[in-house]
This record gives sequence, C-alpha cells and structure tokens, in this order.
Amino acid sequence: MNDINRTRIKYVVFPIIALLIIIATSIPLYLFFHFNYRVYIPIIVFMSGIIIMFIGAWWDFGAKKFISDVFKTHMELNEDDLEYVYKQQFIMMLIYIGIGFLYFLIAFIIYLVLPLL
Amino acid sequence: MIETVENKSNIENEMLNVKNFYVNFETYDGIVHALDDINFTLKNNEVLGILGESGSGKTTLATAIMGLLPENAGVKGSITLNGKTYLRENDFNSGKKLNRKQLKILDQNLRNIRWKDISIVFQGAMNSFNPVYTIGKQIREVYKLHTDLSDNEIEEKLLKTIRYAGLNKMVINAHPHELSGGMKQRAVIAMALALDPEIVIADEPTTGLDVITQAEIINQLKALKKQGKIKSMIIISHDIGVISQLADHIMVLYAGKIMEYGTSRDIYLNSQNPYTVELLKSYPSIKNAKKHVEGIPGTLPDPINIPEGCIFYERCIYHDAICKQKEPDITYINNEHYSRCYFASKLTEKERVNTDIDGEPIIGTEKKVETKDLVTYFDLKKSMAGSLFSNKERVVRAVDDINIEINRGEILGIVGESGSGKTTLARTIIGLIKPTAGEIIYNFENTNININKIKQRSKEYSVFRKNTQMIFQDPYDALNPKMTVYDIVAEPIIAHRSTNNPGEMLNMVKSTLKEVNLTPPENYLERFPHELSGGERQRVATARALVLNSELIVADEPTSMLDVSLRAGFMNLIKNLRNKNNLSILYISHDIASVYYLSDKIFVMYLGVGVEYGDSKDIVNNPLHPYTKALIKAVPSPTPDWNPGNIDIIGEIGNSINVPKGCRFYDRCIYKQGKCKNEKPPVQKTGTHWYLCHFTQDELDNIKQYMK
Ligand SMILES: Nc1ncnc2c1ncn2[C@@H]1O[C@H](COP(=O)(O)OP(=O)(O)O)[C@@H](O)[C@H]1O
Ligand code: SF4
Ligand code: SF4
Ligand SMILES: [Mg+2]
Repeated sequence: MNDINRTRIKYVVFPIIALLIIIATSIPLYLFFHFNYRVYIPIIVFMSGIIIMFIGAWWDFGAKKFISDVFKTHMELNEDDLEYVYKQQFIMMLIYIGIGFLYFLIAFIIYLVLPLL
Repeated sequence: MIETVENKSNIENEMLNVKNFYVNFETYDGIVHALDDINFTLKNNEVLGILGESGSGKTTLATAIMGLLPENAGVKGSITLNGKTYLRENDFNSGKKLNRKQLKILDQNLRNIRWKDISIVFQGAMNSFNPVYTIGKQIREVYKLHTDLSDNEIEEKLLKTIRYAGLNKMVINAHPHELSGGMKQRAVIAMALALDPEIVIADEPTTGLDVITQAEIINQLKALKKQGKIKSMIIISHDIGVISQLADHIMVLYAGKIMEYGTSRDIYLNSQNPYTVELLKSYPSIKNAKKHVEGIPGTLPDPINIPEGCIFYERCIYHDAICKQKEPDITYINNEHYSRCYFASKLTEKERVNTDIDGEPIIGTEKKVETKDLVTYFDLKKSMAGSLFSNKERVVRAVDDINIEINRGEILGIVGESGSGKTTLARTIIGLIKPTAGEIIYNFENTNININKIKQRSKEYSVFRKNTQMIFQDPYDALNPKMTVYDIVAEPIIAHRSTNNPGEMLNMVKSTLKEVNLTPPENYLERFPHELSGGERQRVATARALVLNSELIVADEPTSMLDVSLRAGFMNLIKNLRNKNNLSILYISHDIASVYYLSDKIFVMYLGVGVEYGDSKDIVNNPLHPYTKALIKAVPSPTPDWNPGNIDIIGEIGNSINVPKGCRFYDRCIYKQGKCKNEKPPVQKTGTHWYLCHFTQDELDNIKQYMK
C-alpha cells in the first residue's frame, strides 16, 4: 500500500474506533440494566454520524498547520502544491462523509436487524 | 530687499509645510499627547529623515500628513501642500470610503497608499498583501481606487511600475507567498510610486528585512531618487544607519516633540541635543575598533501625563535645575539647525557614570560545549498532516554538519540571515530539539556529558538541563503573563529542586534581579510582565536564565525587540555578567554590529552550514568568504558619507530543501566557477580563522579582476 493511503487510514481510525466504542460500551448496559438498546443506540449512532460528517466538512485535517510549517521553514509553496492540499482535503472530507453514512448504515442495521435475531 | 527675494524663492521651492501642529488621541485612560508643536517644511527634491524610538510619534506624523488620522484624534495647527492647506484644526478626513469588494481585496495598509499627491509605504505594508490575490490584481485595484484610467492604461502603468522597482514581470501573476520579503517590499514601493506622487513617505521601509536585502532596498530608493522617480521623500526609521543613507535633513523626535533638526551632517557630526548625542552613542558600529557603547536608561515619559519642564529630563545626563522647571525653547545653532535644549551649542562631552564594564574576561581553555558534525533535519512528511498534504520531499536541512566549540568564559556569536538555521542550532544545543545525527558534548560541573548517551532520568541529564539556559528573542512570549516576576525567576529553582527553603529561594531571586540591574529587587517581585517595559522584561528573562548559575547561556536575538536606546544597555549587561561569572555564551543575531561588539569569536552560517569562523575582529575587518564579505559590506554605517556601492551578492537567501550539491552559496556567489556547482568546497585555514570555499583569497581577487 502506498504512503498516502496509509495516512488516510490513520485519519479514518479515529471515527471507526469511536463507532466501535459507542456500540461496545452500551452492551453491558443492555445486558444488565434492561437498557433499550434497539431504540437508543441507533439514535446515538445516527447523531454521531452527523457529527462525523460535520467534522469532515469543517476540520482542515491539519492543512493550516502544515502550510504554516512550510512557511516557517522557508520552503516554497506554489499553486500546484496548494491545489494538492485542497485536493487531499476534499478527498478526506468525502471519506469522512462516507464514514458518516457507515454510521447511518450501522444504526439502521441495529434498528432493523437486531429484533430479528 | 534681498530678504524678500530669498523668502519668495523659498516659498516657491516649498512642497509641504507643517505648522504649529499638535495631535492628541482621546482614550479611556486620558488624553494621549502624540505630537506637540511640530514645525517643518519639506522642499522640492528634499529627503527628510525622521528619527525616533518607537512611541515617539513618527507614525502618527506620517498618518497625519496623509490625512488618515483615526476618529479619536484631535488636531491643532495646519499642514499645507503646495500652498494649499488641506489639514487643519478638526477638519480632517479619515480615509476614502470603499465598497465591500474593494475592502475585501485590499488591506488597509495598502488601500490608503495614495492620498492626494502624497503616497505612503506603511510600516509592515509588505506583510499586508492579501494572500488570496495576485500582486498584480492588488496593484491594479489601487489604480482603480484613485484614478479614472482605463484598463489598458492601468496595465501600462503597472508594467512600468514593476520595472522601476527592479522586479521581474512575472511578479504580476505571483501570489504574495511566492515572493521573498525583499520582493514584497519592492512591490509596495512600486505601488507608492505608481502615480508619480510629489512626496513619498516611507515608514520603517527596511525594518524586519535582512541586512543584505535592506542594503538593496536602500540602493533602490537612492537610484529612484537620482532618476527623479521619487521627488521629495520623508523617510521614517529608528535606525540611524538607514536614515543616514538617504536623508538630506534629519528631524529627531522624542515623545512627540522635535528635539533637534538639521542637515544630516549637522546631526551626525555636530549634534547639539543630549538625546541625539546619546542615541548616536548607543549604536555599535563595525567601522571602528570595538568602541564602548552606552544605552540610555529609562523610558519615554507617559504620553498621558507629560511631565513639566524638559521631556528628556529624567534620562538626561546634562540636566540642570532649570530643565525641570520650564520647558526649553528652540535654540538655533545655524540657519538650518536647531535644538530644543537649554545647553544647545554649549554641550560638553559627558559620560554616564555607570559605564564601566566589570573586569576583563578570563577565557579558559576547557571546552564547555562542543558539537561534532551536528545535523538537524526537519522532515515535514513525518507528521500525519505532512504526509497527507505534501506531494514531494519536504526535508529541511536546517543544521548540516556543524562543528563549533565554546570555551569557558567565551562568547561565541553566530550571524546569518533569517532562514540560515541559527535558531535551530541554538535549540538543538540546549536540548529542545533532538539532533538528527552528530554529537554534542558538554562539560558541566567537571563531568563530560554526551547528549546521545544519557537517559532522561539520569543525574547527568539534570546537570545538563540545569547548566543550559536560554534567553529568547521575544520577552513578551517567553514570560508567562499570569506569573509575577518572583514566580518567573523562581520557577527554575523549583523545577531543579535547588532548594526548598523559601527564604533561600527569595534570596536567590533577589540577588539575581540585582545582578541584572533590576534594583531594588523588592520593587519588582510582585509585578506582572505587562507592568514592565520591554527592557525590564528582557532583564527578567535574563534573570531567569541566570538564577541557577548555569554555565552555558544561549541568547537567541535577545535585543531584536528592544528599542535602540536599550540595546546597548542590555549588551553591556551580558558582557558584565560574562566577566563576573565566567559564563560561556552563545549569542545569536542577524545584526553583525552587535555580534561584533559582544563576541570573542564569530561563526557565520549560511543555509545550515558554517561558512566562516574566526576571531570577531578578523571576521569583521578581514572577511574571507564571499558571503561574509557581502554581509559586512551591507551593514549601513551611521555616517552621511557611507556608500556601499555594489554588495556583490546575487538575490536573496534560498531555502534549505533544494540545496546545491556543491557549495551551498553557489546560487548567490558572484565568484562561482564550474566546480563550485557539484564539488563540496574544502576548508581554507589560516590559524584559527577558516572559511569554506574552493578558492584562496588571491584566486578570488583574480576572479573579480577578471570579471571587471
Ligand atoms: N489611535 C490611537 N489611539 C491612541 N493612542 C495612539 C493611537 N495611535 C498612536 N497612539 C499613541 O501615540 C504615540 C505615538 O505613536 P506612534 O506615532 O505610533 O509612534 P512611532 O511611530 O514613533 O512608534 C504613542 O504613545 C501611541 O501609543
Ligand atoms: S533641556 Fe536640560 S534636560 Fe532637556 S535635554 Fe537639555 S540638558 Fe537635558
Ligand atoms: S566555493 Fe565557489 S560558489 Fe562557493 S563561495 Fe567559493 S567561489 Fe563561491
Ligand atoms: Mg511606527
């Protein structure tokens, strides 16, 4: 796998782990306290999905800091470099939105599939 | 009869006349008296220099002449241009109203560049370009704002302007971040000249630029003046060297008042005002032997409560009882030269009392610190964001194979333009940055410590930390605003567990404050940084570095934020401390004169490598490397006769990513030959003085002869 994809995966780790944590931490509640898993968890996951999408849209993924580091070290930054930065930012945003949809999907699965089990 | 004829010709010749001019600012704290009784005329073709420390009212005067004072200003007196009075009591305009798009494109500093027949290069304007738009678009916008020219005419003017400024056409389509500081400043000057103004005002046009760039900008301004592109000019600066290069007449401002006015010669060679005399004395120069310099202790008077009597009284060593009672009038020394002092033309040479430097330095033979092939690279691709956003290698060779050593009691000065790696070297030496390769060996408390071989928790590590302290460039940043002076100075004591006894700690803090001349220390202990002046703040930062009796102090541009009158005092303090305590000091600055004044040895850096090293006297009087030669030549000398001619260097400092394979200096060297490009130059050595180049001095001389 090339470098850039490895980096993208690093960025993706956080929302995926967040998703697993949300699902996993509530399992004990469900088992011991008659927590209504099927109703609450899909809502929480769904909301989190929206949050992840917003993060993807508003966060610069460290681009600002990167550019200021480039200036600080007196390196050149030309039009092409900037374009590249924008492109990467855009791709990351799409990935985060995709992850948002993954959240939605999981929410639906829990809501629809869980009662069938 | 004769008199009237002369008067008439004078008036015809007169461009700008400022008469009985006062400016006050209304603020919450009270009325700030920014300018007081200003009178002067600027003749056709004249260059007037305005000299003063920050806060003396220079910028306010420039803004007033432009008619751009803010709303809270109150004005008395008048300003006349070509016989037409355009600014008088409470009748001024705060700038032109712009539409929203124009507001978006042009920063305020650039927006108001031209007003009537006067244009201005604002302080720091080169950093005011909007990063989103090309330089060309922003200059065009200025034309559109102030003229009715058609697009074609504007394009023509734009090209012409860019050429005057000595820039390439390519600049028009460049974005601000693609240009170096010097190019941006040229672009701003070009904008100011765009519409053939009668008067150009330049407010600190070279502050923040490197010496070589500064010298080039000065040359450019001189050339434009000679060609008649600049007619009359007002040049504002705190730097005597810069003013002396350009001005015919000089006005010395202090706390809003004109202290002295005269021709450049009169001001430099025959100044008759204590403030000017002291100011001139506080400049270190590289031209004569290491002459002792002396600062002016104290600060400007509070602009809200201007004291009775002479405004300079508190800081003046010539003062007499009368000075406190009544403000002195202007005394004329000759037709064109006056001074605001009771003793003008009667001043006798006086020295400040506390001028002596304690003792002579004792430079030992033991090395306190030594670096061996030290290398520090920054790889931006290593960080997560860096690897996501960089499409190419982004390795900076900030420090590349540096070997230096500092003996006990020695001051080593490092000079180089910004971007040459000075700060990285300093931070690596005090352990703030981990070196990429190479060794640093310290000798503290009689133990050898190799930075690569010690563990974070070992005893050696704490000895190393305790004995290496740093004084930072910006005392505002370095001191925590929420801590008192006592807490700030005591912090290292607590961190290194030097003592737990509160009484002892207090004594340590007090005696260190005394050592940096903050006396009596009791007055300072409970104060916060914002309650201190710039000079005092830098002294507190110094006290903090000294409190543990560290053996090595690293000072990174410690005077660059200080006013001229305070710099000399601070440098003397460092000298004194070294002599008294046998400290080893690494002193970093881009200001060669101050490095020369302080240091025993000088190390010249260029793009991460050391290009020359030797005794400071040798380096300054007999520079061997082409880069050092240019650097020394570019330092303006505060005399009206200085003319550097050609500085013998090409362009501006590059970056340390795509470094040339052979000599680092290749791209800028005027002596370069074929082999310089790909072969690494060897060290040429005479005694302890060495430089890095393929050629001996004779060979370099021959190359230069041949070029002619
Ligand atoms: N808009 C303002 N409101 C209040 N005080 C001001 C304003 N502009 C400048 N001053 C004060 O006027 C004095 C002169 O400032 P300035 O002209 O900027 O000096 P210089 O350019 O010589 O550094 C200072 O005391 C400053 O604080
Ligand atoms: S009038 Fe007195 S206090 Fe003022 S500058 Fe002259 S000697 Fe100094
Ligand atoms: S080695 Fe060549 S390029 Fe480098 S400084 Fe010497 S002459 Fe100039
Ligand atoms: Mg100013």
